[in-house]
Amino acid sequence: MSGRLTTPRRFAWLPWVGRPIDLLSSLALVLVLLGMAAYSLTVGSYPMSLAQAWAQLLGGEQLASAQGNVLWELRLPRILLAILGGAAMALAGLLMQSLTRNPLAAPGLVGVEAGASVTMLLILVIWPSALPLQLYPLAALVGGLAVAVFVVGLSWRRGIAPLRLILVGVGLTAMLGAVADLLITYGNIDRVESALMWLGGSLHRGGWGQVQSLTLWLLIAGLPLLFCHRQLNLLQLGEGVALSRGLNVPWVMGLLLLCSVMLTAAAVANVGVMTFVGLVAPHLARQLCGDRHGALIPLSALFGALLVLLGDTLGRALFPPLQLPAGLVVAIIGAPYLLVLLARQRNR
Amino acid sequence: MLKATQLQLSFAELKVLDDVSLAIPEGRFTALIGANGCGKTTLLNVLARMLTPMSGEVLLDGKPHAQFSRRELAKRVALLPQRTSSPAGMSVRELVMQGRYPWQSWWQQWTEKDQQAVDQALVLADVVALQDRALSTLSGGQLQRCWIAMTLAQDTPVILLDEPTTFLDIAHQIALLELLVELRDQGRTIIAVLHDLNQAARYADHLVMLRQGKVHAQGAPAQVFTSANLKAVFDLNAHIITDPHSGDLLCVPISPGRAGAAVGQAGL
Repeated sequence: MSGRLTTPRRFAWLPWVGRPIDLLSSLALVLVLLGMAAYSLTVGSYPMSLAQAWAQLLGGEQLASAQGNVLWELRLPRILLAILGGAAMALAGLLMQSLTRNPLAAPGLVGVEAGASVTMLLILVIWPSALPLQLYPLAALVGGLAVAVFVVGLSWRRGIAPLRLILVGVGLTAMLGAVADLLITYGNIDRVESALMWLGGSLHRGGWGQVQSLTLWLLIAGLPLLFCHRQLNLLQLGEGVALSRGLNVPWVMGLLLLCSVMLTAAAVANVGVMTFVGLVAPHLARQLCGDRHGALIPLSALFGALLVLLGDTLGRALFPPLQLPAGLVVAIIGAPYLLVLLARQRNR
Repeated sequence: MLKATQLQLSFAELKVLDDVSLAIPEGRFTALIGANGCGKTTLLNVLARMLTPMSGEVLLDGKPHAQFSRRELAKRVALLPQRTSSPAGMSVRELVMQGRYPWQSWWQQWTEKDQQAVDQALVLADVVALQDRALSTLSGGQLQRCWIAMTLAQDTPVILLDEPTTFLDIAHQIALLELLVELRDQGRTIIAVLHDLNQAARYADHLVMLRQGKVHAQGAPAQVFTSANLKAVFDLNAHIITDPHSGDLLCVPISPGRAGAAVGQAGL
């Protein structure tokens, strides 16, 4: 029985060869995510039962009541944002780990997060009137992309050399971290506070605009990844092997790296900094499906979505009316897991 | 079919390939031999288009390498590099399945032919019993055989192997070399970097001896496997003797002290 579940086979209606058990775990995770989202709808300072939330959802937007307003304008976009942001961050992290063949790589590796953070700090602390609020995500995106391009450019040497990429990324991230600390230390206290809230990975200002923007980025850089599992499987066998199996390695690696950078930048711009999601979600997925990217890609995205949704829901539910930033809650859950992971690797 | 003309390649100041020209005989087993750092692996990588030479070109079926797309090349030439990385969470069968990559496309990912090629490769490399094991549970030798199966699954007329016998015990080394001979008999062209000179002389049809980035000698073992060439290429003093059972050539290194003792005993 278990043999039949773990033997790879072809699914006539799906574009990949895989193990039935991976399909089952993906479906199970989708159900858990839906359950979590349903529970999350009922959490908050405005009381709402699941039945009421359900009625509102089915009734559509016509029911203009305080309840409908809370559901449609506050909770639903926030839940969607958590799911999309988590999925984007997890995919970005998975790509980075597979491309560098380093299990400890995180989406921030090429400096996207640091670049976006410093850009946001500069805007929020030094010159808040420079940009309208709606353009903040775009500014973070541009800042993150600029730093990523710089890091990749510095480490490019007839293709991407993973180790150089890591070292250059670490160096530049440290430098940007110092700049961020300077701004936080010497900036106007009120402005710094609002910037820090944003940097903590908080979803409290989430609206439909951000949901749309993140959906768009996931469609561009996330969805196509589902079809790149064979390339990623091959890449992890070593560049020489991939090249002689007919994969155009520099081109594919560059493209996948670009996807990772776009996803990270979009996630950071819309939901703030959540490094641990990108680091931990792929590892959770690996516990279920090993290094098979056909399953690893959807499972990582699902775990990422689940983690951020869990973090945000807990952040809202634990100490109302105080809202803990989801990024911090995730880090508090994620850090111990990272330590366990490191300890287990040492034992190997 | 595979031909190289006047290849030149340097890494920084170091000349790794210096005016290398050779014609690999089709449907034969060619062994590349030479001292450490003489450019064997580099030559193999250039033949597989892992590296681009600074001048000179490689012709495959009379057409320059560069005119093939990566995928088209991968349907004709397979390379097993010396260094590979084996992901822990993957089974042997799944590793071997990846050898089919050049034959697949976005819309056609797995056909009956892929299945047959993988089954056959598993049998040829003698890893059928291991096929459901995770790669992380295998020994170095077992892993090496799985990689060979993966290379065979690619089903190419030309197969390049960089020190394929590394990590294998002596029985599996011989089994692998016999397998390469069997593949040659099916009409495939085999090119392997080999360390063991006696194995190279015994199994290969064609020897290419490299010395400091240049081809020192090439030809059938009977012509080029001589003590003068071994002295020039490896700086090794050796006799070449003939195995009384098989008629194969064997090189026997001479160590001055012991040779004297043996002669002395024989004299008694």
